[in-house]
Amino acid sequence: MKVTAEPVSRLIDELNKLPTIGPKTASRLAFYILRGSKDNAEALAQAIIDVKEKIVYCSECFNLTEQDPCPVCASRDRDRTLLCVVEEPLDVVALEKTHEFNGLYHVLHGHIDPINGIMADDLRIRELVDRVKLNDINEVILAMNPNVEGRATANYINRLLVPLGATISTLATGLPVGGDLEYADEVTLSNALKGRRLI
Amino acid sequence: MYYKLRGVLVKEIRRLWYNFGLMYCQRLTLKDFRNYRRLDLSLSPGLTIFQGENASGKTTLLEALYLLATTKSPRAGSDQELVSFEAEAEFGAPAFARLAGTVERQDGEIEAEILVLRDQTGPEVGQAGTARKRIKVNGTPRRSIDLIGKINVVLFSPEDLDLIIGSPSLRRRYLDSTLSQVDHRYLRHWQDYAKVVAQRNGFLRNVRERQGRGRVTGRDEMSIWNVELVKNGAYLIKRRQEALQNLNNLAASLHGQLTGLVSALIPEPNTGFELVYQPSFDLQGATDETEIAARFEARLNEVRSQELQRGVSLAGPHRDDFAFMVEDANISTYGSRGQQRTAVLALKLAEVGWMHAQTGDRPILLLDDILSELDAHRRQYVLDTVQARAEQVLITTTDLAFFGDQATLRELATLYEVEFGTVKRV
Repeated sequence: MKVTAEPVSRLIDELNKLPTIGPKTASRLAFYILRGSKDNAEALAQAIIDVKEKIVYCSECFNLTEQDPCPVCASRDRDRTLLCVVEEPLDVVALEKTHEFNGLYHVLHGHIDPINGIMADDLRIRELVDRVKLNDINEVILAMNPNVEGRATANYINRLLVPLGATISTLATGLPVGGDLEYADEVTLSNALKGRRLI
Repeated sequence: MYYKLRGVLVKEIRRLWYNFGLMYCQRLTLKDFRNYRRLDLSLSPGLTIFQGENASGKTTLLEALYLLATTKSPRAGSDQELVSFEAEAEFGAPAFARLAGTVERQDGEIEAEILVLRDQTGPEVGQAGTARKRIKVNGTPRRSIDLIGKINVVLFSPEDLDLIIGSPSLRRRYLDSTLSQVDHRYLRHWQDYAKVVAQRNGFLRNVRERQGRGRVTGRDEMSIWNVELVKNGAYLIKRRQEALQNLNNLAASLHGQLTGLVSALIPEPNTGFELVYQPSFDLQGATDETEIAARFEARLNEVRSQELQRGVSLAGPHRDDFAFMVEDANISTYGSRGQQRTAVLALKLAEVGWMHAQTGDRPILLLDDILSELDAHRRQYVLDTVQARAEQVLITTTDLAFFGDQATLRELATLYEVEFGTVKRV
């Protein structure tokens, strides 16, 4: 005998496919939706359909956008000779919040990660090389995460861009703002020391 | 002003006192850790002996201290087994074990705490499940890398023999965990190196699979992994070679003393004992990091096609080994059990002095039931040596008779009786 009605168990199965959602959380969410109003359920369903139907990749920077090209690439106020390469669309959001960067972006959609089957070819690296080749770009900032895979990705891109003659830089690594020198680990501290600058 | 001055004075006096390299655990508390439901144990410097039957929980006490120092258990098995079977989930929180230790050190007192949480949605009883660890240092949540190295311990256990007779991976693990305790850069490089090897193997496999589909990846993509492999690996090789050389220098004379003891109590001056690092490729005598890196890189070029064919990384510290030699013979194959035991004991005793030299602190020594395997002379030698080299020595045993005269023992050591997860002072 089946205890849960088929539509409910189907919803649970679908939710269960999402990352970090286990079977227990999935059933909790399903019953929450079931108990809630029909409006809320429809709003959720519509929002999910909208992101799939309305969101496209920007043909220049490959960020997610509603219109192509994206607002950043279409803007006349941005510095078109400066390019910042990031791993994920969320990194663009983080960098935009700083209001410090006024150039254009290039979103790779991941890092080189062979364990999970992601090779350089699977990222938007070829598009990046073309972009640097075809446009008048002075500097490329490689803003990868400071871990093994991020370093490898930056290193790979660097090798491809050096022959094109653009200046290539990476973000500084070191002490967090508001952090305590005393509690920084040796590696972070020695990075900070190497990356010191004149004031 | 006065208080400030007094504070400085007190600090200075303490610093002078601590310069003796004092390190000892003052207090150990356990909750639902293996067979201990609750334990609050005050410990003192000097010699402490835990006596009890097999499976009474003696080793667990040493394990707890080892875990607080290294964040890893010396015993094989999953972390979930650390949590007592009787521990229950309460108020929606998962069942957990808590271990905490207060340790006096040269750099001041430290309070280390580890929570091991058993995952609620774990598999059925009897299956290996998962567990998470939460670490606090002085009450503040920290990463494991922040705790490793704050407390130094050397564990002597009957399983040490596996270092000689076991697989190379055990010897690598020994070097890695010993070096990680004293060198944070080593730990970082080691963690990164492990990741790089995994990614590089993934890369080699992917190339093999994609070649069939007409998608071949360039030389550039291989070389970025080589750069990371060499950069991290060269440091590992350099530090391992150095450490083994230092350990070898200390162990050679200890081995002579341990060997000479049997008959005459006079040390054998030269027993031909040697610890030899065996890299997976010919270093041609390179000891400097850049030289090692150059050799490593050259080797990667040599094995390139072989690696692409087999889909695994064939050269590097993840394939290195070291050997225990006596008179140029590897005692893992040619030594008697007695010879092997003496050799591993010499290494562990050398580790104590090495760690002191590296950190300035004399490590806490944990001797897990190793005296029963030694004859009376060696037993006495080991007891004398460890007491001379550490502020605190914790020993487990099934039988107090191993320690000679009982009356003197009571004066020298603090004795505890361990029974079914309880510890009683006797």
